[in-house]
Amino acid sequence: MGEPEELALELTAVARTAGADVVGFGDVTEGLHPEFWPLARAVSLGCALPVRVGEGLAFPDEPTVARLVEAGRAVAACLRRRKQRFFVLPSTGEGKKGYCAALFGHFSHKVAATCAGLGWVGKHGLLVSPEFGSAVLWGTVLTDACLPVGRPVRRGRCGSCTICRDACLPGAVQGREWRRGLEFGDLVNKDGCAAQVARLQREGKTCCGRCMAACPYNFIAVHAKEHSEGA
Amino acid sequence: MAEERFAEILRELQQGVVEYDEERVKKAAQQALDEGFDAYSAVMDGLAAGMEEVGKLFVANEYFVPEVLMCADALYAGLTILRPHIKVDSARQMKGAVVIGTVEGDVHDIGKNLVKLMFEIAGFTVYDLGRDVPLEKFVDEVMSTDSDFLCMSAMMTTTMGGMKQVIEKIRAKNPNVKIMVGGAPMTEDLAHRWGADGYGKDAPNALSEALRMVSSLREMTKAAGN
Repeated sequence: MGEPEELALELTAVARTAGADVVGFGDVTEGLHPEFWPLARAVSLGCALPVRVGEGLAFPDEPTVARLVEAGRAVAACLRRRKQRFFVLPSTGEGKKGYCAALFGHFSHKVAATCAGLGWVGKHGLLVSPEFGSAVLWGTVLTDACLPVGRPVRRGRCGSCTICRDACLPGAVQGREWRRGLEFGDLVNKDGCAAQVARLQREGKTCCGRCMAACPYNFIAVHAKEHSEGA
Repeated sequence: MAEERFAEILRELQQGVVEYDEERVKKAAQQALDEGFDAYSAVMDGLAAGMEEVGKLFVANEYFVPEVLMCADALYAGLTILRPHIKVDSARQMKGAVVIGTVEGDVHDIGKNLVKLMFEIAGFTVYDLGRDVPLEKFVDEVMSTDSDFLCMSAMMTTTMGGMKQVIEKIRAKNPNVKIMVGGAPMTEDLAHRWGADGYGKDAPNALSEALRMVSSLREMTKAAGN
């Protein structure tokens, strides 16, 4: 086994021990913001949000955010030990503070996860993991370490499913299948989505999340878990 | 013995900053306080000395912008712990106020934030106007706070002209204010023609300038202390 494979195994192990449910490695050279050069490899980390059938979704759920933060730290510590460069991009639920925050807007976790082959961008503009569905918090650690990368996903695999579109109250989800190059705004009417979130926030709710909660892949994950626990 | 121990803590602070290890910096900063060492020396000879090293690595293309920002975050974590314990008399030599911001229409502020941090370390009172600041606001703020320094930056040619107007207005009211300008489209020649006292070229150069300031500020405080 070569050094890149060994490092990949080690990173996967430390991230999973720290609480990550999905770990993958992607080549993100294409379209990388020049400020990040030469950090053209992404360690993509996902933590599944708790989903119970019929009860909806907790987002952003604090224990899940904490797990993702720990996983990011563990990966960074491992890369530091191996004397590799790295830059940690925090998850959506984490506060974005400090000097590093100037760069956070220049990279999307979706790029890392799709390049790592961990999932695709659904019709609702969120990542869909075939294992855990849409109910996943994502984080990324960029690095220049040599790593075996996954096979990138370049197209959506939602097919004829439009459940997220039907669940969207303001009708912001357009129902269009994603392919690489399409942005969030091409899939979702941003203004409509933002207005709905603002409306809910005035009522004291933290987010909408209807499209995220409706994704049928969430329930495949739940049933698989129940099945394995029952066995 | 105590001197050796303090030297050890200073090394930890320096290395923690250079290796952008926030936890290490926090631990060393807390140790410095717990063991009764001077917080001001810990900042200047530990944190700032580490940032000086970061400046060298950046100029040598060993470190890039992401690393420098992580180093700044590590430094800031230590500064947050140490700053409340700096004795007033040891910081007295560097008292002053500075107004800082990026000009109207401009939202790039990486260099500006680094320059701000350097002034804070040196003990200045910093009035950060943030980014996308209306021109009049610079003039008003300098006058109302009676600041000694003004730092402005613009990253776009369409917005940099605003800095000239601000310099003219401030010079008319108070010729003694030191003015630093920066940003990618600026040139040294232009900065001088507009009447600025200092200049930092582009984002990386503004970073270098900011990092260079650590050295000069440390030297100034040492000279003032002797």
